[in-house]
Amino acid sequence: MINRRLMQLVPEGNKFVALNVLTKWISLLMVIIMISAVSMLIASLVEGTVTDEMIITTIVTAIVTIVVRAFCIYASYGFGNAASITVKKKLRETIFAKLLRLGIGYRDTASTSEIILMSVEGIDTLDAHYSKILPQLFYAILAPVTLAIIIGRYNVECAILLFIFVPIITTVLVLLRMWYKGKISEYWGRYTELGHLFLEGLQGMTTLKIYQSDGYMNDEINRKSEEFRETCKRSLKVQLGSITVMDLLAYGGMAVGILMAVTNLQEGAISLEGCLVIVFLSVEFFLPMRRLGSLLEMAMRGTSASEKIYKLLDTPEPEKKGKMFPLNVEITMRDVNYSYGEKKALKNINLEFNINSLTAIVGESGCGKSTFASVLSGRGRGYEGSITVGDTELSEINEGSLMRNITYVDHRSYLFKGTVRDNLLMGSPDSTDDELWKALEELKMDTFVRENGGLDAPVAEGAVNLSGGQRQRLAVARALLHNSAVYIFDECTSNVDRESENIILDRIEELSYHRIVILISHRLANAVRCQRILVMDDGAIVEEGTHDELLSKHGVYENVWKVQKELESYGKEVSE
Amino acid sequence: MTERKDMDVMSGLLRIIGPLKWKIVISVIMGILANLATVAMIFFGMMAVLNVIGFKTPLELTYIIICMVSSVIVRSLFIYIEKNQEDNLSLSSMSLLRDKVFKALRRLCPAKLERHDKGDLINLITADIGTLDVFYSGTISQIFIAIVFSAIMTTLIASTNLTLGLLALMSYIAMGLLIPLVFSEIGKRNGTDYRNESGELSSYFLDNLRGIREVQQYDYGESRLAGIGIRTKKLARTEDKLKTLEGFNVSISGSSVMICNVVMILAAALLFRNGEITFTEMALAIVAMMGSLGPCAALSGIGTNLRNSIASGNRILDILEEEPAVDDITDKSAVDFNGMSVKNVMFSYDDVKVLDGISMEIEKDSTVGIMGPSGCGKSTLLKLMMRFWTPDDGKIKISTRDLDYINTSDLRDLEGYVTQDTQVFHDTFRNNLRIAKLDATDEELVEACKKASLHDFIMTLPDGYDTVIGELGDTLSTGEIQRLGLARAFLHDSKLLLLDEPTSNLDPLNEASILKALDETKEGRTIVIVSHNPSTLRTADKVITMENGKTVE
Repeated sequence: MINRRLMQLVPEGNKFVALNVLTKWISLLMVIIMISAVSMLIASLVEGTVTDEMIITTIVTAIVTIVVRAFCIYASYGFGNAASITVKKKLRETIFAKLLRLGIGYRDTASTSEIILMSVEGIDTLDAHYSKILPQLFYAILAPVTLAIIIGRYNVECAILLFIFVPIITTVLVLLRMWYKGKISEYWGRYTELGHLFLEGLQGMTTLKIYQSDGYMNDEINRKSEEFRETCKRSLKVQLGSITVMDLLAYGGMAVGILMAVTNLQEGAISLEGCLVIVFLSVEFFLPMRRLGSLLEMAMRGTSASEKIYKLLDTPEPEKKGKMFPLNVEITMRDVNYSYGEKKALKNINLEFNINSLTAIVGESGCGKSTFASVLSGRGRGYEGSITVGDTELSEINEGSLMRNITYVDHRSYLFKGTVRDNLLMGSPDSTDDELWKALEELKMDTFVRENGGLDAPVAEGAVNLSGGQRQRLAVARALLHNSAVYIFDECTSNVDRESENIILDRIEELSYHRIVILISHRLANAVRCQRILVMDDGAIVEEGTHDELLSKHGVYENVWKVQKELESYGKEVSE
Repeated sequence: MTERKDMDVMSGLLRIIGPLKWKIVISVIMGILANLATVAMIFFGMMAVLNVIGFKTPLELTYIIICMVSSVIVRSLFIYIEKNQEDNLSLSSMSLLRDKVFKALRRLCPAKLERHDKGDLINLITADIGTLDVFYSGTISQIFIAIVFSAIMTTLIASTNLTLGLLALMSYIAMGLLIPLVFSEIGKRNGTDYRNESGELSSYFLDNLRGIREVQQYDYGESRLAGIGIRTKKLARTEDKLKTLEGFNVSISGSSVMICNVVMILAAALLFRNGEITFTEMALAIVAMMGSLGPCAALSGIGTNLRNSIASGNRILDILEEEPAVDDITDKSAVDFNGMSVKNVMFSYDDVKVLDGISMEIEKDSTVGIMGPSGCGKSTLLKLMMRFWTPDDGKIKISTRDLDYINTSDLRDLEGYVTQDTQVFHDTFRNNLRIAKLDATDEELVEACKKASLHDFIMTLPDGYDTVIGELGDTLSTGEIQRLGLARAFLHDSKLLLLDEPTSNLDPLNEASILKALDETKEGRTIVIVSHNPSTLRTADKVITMENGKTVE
């Protein structure tokens, strides 16, 4: 029942466990004192030797012990609670820090919904390890020992006999745990599957509704829900089974204790007072173990969740790189190749990007433009050949430094729930409001933002309260504020109207006077103004030059240009 | 969030599981029997002691011991049946609730669903429903068991001595009613806060995961980590309050058990001393009291737990009872598509005017383009045409019939709608396509994908149509995702097709082939294309320009 790894992860929790056990133990002592007092009173009642003084002493003892015990229970809850809070905070932060280091690669290990469930509810299950299970485990060992010593003072035989039950119960617990382990291990897996399907259904609900498939999704969820119910049923059987077994053992032990006491009394081996003490204490004797048995299922559920957490924490991270991004230098690519599995996505690329330059990369969907961007921005790891920034190899540059100096904006850049200001400040945390307004003005977003409450205008989850074009413009504004040495814009204006698109392109061009800017677009018209245009086809750069140069080459570019021009201006006839 | 009375939440939660009522009845009966067996067990134990120390007892010692052992076994049996019933009840209730919540979300989608954070909703269907486990598997039956059992025991003790009977009754009331009521009242606010804050934390986590690329890009990890810290702390503070209260509750209820017992012992001892009861009666009264506090003691500890259940129940009832923005229409006659007309439609979203008296005619079998700058209300107009929302003023009609008078399922059959962002499911291509037509044959899938210029791409994948797409389509390019959305629409094959920026992420050649496919299948189909890009609208018979929520000439 001890989760060693967890104890190493959050060593701060251990002292709370110790304090928790201590207070539980003191409260047991109080019970013992009170039982002794009451037994003494009853015994003297029977023997007819009771005095008023005795009754008062018993009342006072009862009050004192009850108060101390109440305080101890309260304190033990407090320690459990303190452990729980420490553990949760630490674990959540550990998980999120790990996710940050993994980046988008986390999805290889766990789905998003799994991580949400693990980080919120899974951790809630785990904290019980510190607040309930561990303390109860130690207490369940300590309590019988203490009680056996007390009972031993009245009658050694009884004490030994009761104590024999302890290893029996422990063995049964261990057996139960082994027996049920397989049945409960899938619990957390099924739970997250259900959560995953639910998140999928939730995200795609509109689409499902359009096609009237929401009922189908509902059935799927019910099916998973049913599977989960079956798993739970098995796991609750564990719970019920262990409770019943523990119950029978505990009451059996108790009955044996009482019988022994009574027999001893009959034989005159113990006094009536001793007999009563043993009777009452044998009830207390098995309570801690019984309680431990009822926590068995919870402990195993926690283990099931913790395994998933460890799996995430054990996911290998990209190696930390030490070199810094050199400033004001050019980027050179030599014989760069890149593949996804067997599929070659970039073929033999040789290029230079000079400082203060604007380069466009054009080509059909699927020609490798986005792969190119992902490799150059350091996200696509494991390229062949060499990419150097000045004299430094790109793959040796520190991640943070890379992110600081290369800004990549694509069509689905994410905006966070919060305000317009929150989102813009991500790009440049020290910016003043004036600077933020300037960025918005440059992208013609200022009017809209002003009408909706200024910089504090709310951005909903997934930015659903903004139109596609507004989202893109806000993402570009944030990127511009980032003020980095290199910019890669990947189809970042796909949902923006022509007029706004031109404004954004003007701004991008201006940006290139002081930086390396790469613009990726499937629309050649966007590339015309660039000093250099690279044409990509099937992972290779097939042509290079200015718009006019490329046209005069009468190659791929000219062809595509003509087709696009025709497509855009004549329309109907061409499409037929 | 609606504040409901605790009783209303509980009766609401009970109503939901109406069909499972008899399970509660069985577990209550079993619970009462089990508790009686517990009393019997202690009763026989005491009788054994009395017998040994020389009192006259109605039974021989051997029989007393046999009775005692039988009580132990019978008790376990009853408890087993009771708990088994309760567990089943609780699991069935939770399945039922998950289904009900999902159905409610279907009804609310999309207009009202947008207003809920996804992470919060996940929390609702997992954690909140999980919290109700305690309620369904214990609280309900415990309440009934405690009432019946306490009544029986009061009568039994009172038949020996009226004073002791009254004392027992007072103990039951204090433990089973007063303590839980007081603690449940104190913890009222905290329970609700806790559930809401937990949902908030889930949402925050989800938001961060969705935007993890941006968090890295802008080196915002520290700040987001701090955000998690703040939320965890806030949650922890509420939890701290709840748990402190729970600790207080448990210690008070634990002490109360002892106090009740001690008071009973002292009272019985005094009565015995004054000769009002016999020693046997005294012993039995004490034993009856000690053995019968169980059910009420259980109730006295549930105050704070009950708080959690009620808070979760309240959140769930909120969703179940929320009114959708538009109700589904079911009882109208079928309608054929003979064109659509939009007349003077006004619409505001969050008090911001989006559509300002827009009118247009969409003739049958024509292709209509709607153009305009971003944010002019184009997409909103399509949503109104889908009847996701209803206009604040003005009318939208299909074949001269107002959308409000067309069966929703007929409307869905008539209309296909490709949204600006295509939603991809973490599943195979086949299943991603099939949602548009559940009974589609393989041939139909291939045909639709060919029209959407997607088939060739799918065939280059190792598992073809059975290739699993990554979460949110992260293994596909934006162009491929968009074509998937179009393939769905082709598969759906409706009379009226609404397209919102259908080709924004496609290069002109792919765009052309899609427009061509649309053009080739336009026989008997009416198409509305919304785009900011004139070239996308080149196949349109008519182009309408929009600005600031109305048409311009």
